[in-house]
Amino acid sequence: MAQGVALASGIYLGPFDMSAYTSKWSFGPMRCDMKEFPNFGAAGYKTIRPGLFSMDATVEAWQDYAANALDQTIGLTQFVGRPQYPFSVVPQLGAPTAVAAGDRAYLTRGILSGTEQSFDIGEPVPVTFAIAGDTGFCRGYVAAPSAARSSTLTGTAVAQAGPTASQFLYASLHVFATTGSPTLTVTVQSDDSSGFSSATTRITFTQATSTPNANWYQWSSLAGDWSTETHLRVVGTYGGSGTITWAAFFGVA
Amino acid sequence: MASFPALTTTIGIGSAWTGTAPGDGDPTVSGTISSSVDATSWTTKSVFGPKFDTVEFTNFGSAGYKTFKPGLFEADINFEMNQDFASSQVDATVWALFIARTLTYLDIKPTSASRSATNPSIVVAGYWVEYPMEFTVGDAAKISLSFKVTGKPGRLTS
Repeated sequence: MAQGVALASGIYLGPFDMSAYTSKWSFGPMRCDMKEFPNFGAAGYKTIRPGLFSMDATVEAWQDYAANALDQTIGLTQFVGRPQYPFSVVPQLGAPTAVAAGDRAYLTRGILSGTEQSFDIGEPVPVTFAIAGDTGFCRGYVAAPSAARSSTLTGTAVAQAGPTASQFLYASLHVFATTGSPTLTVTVQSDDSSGFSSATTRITFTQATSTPNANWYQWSSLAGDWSTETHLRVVGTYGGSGTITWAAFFGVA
Repeated sequence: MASFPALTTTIGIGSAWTGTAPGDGDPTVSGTISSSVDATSWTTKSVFGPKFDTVEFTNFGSAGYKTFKPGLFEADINFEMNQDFASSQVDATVWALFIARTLTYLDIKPTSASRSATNPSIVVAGYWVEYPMEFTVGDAAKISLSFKVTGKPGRLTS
């Protein structure tokens, strides 16, 4: 994806697909604290070493009070509960294309630390969300693009080496809507080939059902070392009846 | 070279050095980045800001004026780049160095001509401090990066 104008993005915050509501988003800045190690052997130059990572994110969107829309899904009722949401983004530059498995994505989890909406006569109502990252963040991939599904999905194999001893596999699951009474259990698998002839399940998310709850937005991580693996994929095992709209993301950092 | 507009400033990025690298200690810097990634086509602005801590030595003989001496040297470099998620471009290159906390070398030269006394390379070692991603619908996707220098930089004319 070459240099270009930002015309489309996938933005997923907890149980809500923010893409059609968002005018501006910031995943980060992701920061690395720089620590000084002054010493007399440094000839008068500061010696610097990298320390802890941290990040904050923001989403600027347009408010919507309709049933099951933005305010009813991520509004004051949820905010006072101090929610912890996975936050996954799919940046696109240039001509918009449908989000697909294997697309570049960034993912993390954070605390919804602030929200603000303003009412200005005659103007659309903007709402902003501040997300304070509280765990690792990751440059990863779309594992399963958002879609309403009524059957089990065996996801596309994505080329990604497993984590080394100092790395983690990170994964996020977002469930946005259901019809009927479906169930969904999503796993992240790895293998040492794209054919997945010897798949190993690395992460299993808690089953999501038609009841909106914390199982609709999940974050998980798994430490290495299984760096000999070369590919990742998700499997979304469907049960019950109806449809379930969901998306998943993963990466290694 | 008289005053000139920056038209062909070159920026190289890498994690290995051939020669005596800039950085910690008191090296006599020479050489170049091994397998340098050319960031020139990504970059729209670079700002190199070396400075010294000012350490106060005000005394009763200072006639009422504060007295300072230079202390420790430090430097930051800030870049503005056009974001690019294609293979081997900005995102792939800088993210990998940032998330791994990799000691990184930069080589910034005023023009694309070879190093010379009037076209010196500023070479530094350090770490990427922040990796921001901010997108506004309809705007060009850009990224502002900050880099913290460790140790001694070099000004190389060959």
